[in-house]
Amino acid sequence: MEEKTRGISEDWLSFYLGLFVFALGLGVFLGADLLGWGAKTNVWTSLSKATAPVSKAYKVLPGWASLVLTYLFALVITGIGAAAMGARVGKFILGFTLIFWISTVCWFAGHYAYIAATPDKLEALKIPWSLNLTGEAGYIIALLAGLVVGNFLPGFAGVLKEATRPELFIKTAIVIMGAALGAKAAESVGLASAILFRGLCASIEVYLIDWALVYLIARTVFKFNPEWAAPLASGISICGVSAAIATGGAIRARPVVPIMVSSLVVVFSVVELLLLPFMAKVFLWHEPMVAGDWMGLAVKTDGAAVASGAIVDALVRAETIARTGVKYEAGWILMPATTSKIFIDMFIGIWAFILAVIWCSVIECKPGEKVQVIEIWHRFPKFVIGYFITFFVMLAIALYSKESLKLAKESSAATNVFRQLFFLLTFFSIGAVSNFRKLWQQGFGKLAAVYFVCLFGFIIWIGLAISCIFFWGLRPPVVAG
Amino acid sequence: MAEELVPRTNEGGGLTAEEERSLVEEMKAMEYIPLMSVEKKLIGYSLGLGIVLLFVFIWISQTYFPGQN
Repeated sequence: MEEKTRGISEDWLSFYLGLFVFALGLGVFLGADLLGWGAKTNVWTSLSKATAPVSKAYKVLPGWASLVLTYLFALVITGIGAAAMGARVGKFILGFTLIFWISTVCWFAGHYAYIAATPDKLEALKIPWSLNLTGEAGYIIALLAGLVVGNFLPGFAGVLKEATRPELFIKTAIVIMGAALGAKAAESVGLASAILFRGLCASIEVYLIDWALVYLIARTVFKFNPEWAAPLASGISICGVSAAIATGGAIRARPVVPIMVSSLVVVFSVVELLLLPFMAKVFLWHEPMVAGDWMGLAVKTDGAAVASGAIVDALVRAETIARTGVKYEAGWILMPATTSKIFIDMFIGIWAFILAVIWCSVIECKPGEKVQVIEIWHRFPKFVIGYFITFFVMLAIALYSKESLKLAKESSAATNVFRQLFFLLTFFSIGAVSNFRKLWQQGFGKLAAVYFVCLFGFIIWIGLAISCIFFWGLRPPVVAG
Repeated sequence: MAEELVPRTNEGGGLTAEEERSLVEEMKAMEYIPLMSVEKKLIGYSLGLGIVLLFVFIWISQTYFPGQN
């Protein structure tokens, strides 16, 4: 891509940003709470209590000051990153500032008690009812705000464009999240290893079954030629944009083909993001891990999938409390969503390599063309390495002793502020880059039709079936007391 | 992956209007190419392997990764 030639890629940048935040979080092990000033948002009835520093060590700091510090910190690290990528830094700073504050307003709105409060909190908040949507409703509000900007305010979307980078934001969040999941895994190693292995199995199944079916339908029912059918199959069945682009490159399709597919992937992933978490809340609240993994398998693009996992984590826990009074630990339902998505990402390079070998050797043989194994590394998502580093380092630390587990949780709580922030920026950005007008543009109809038929006809349901097969009956740990 | 969510090929993001028009024309004029035998094999092997591995994975999951807390 053009961006890669100007500086480091978003992928590598997310790796560095995530590890930097993770490293600062480790300060608690040396007695230095370096991120405790980060702004944590609370469910509120009075706006003055909506935000406060995440650590008690900084309790003298007013909430607004904590929020401003959070903004400045995020601006500086992403601004340096933008410069390293070769982006236009001035425009990035302006865009990022606007995205940050708009998203923050949405996040606060989502935490309003009448929207967010779970049934066990109503009494403490002194309110008679709430929508029971949890604070994660703020993500949906941010997504809707982004959609309004992207679809109705093109001029304003242009102002934000340099900083509208959902892939960068979500990948950074995933690297940071690895540490929190590592700390959680230390408390239940058996469950965590089951999630990892079963997520791996589910991902492989999705590749083998979904890709073949979509390719078959695109070629036979919709009459696409192989150049179009292969990126379409990867985009619809595997992991959206990344897979479509990798496949396009692998089969030497013209660059415009995966780009056109990608624009549809983004639009449909927003539809999934708005629908599937709420379906999971209604129909799968009693099978929380199935619900989480379903998001990882069915929702395309890293951002939308992991974001859906975060919403499902909150919604399903809230629903379970409302129906049974059982309170699951936060984050466990998100784990299968993230795990499956990360394994899917890891295999994109291998799958693209297999397709490249087949295309190069049989389907479109071009003289002198060779496929090199190094392509697998070039296409390997580097942020995944960051995720595994933070996950296993924190797991090892947390397993060392009870005291280190306690500190690991403190560290994770501080870094979690920034994980949530990057999630939030992802939601707004996804909305802002989703152009729904594409759907009814002349010529997109055929592409949209194959996408719609395959996604809602069987991709979502095969994903659900595979999630049921591997995750049925697994339960997150219950909060003690 | 290193690529962006929506690759930026021009100032506005995505494709130029001209590129889109030519692709739309191309799609309209696209002729059906029957499935080649290598494609049939790819689809068949992929589905077959998927079904076989499903049972293997279920057995390994239940035997070695029961997920008990």
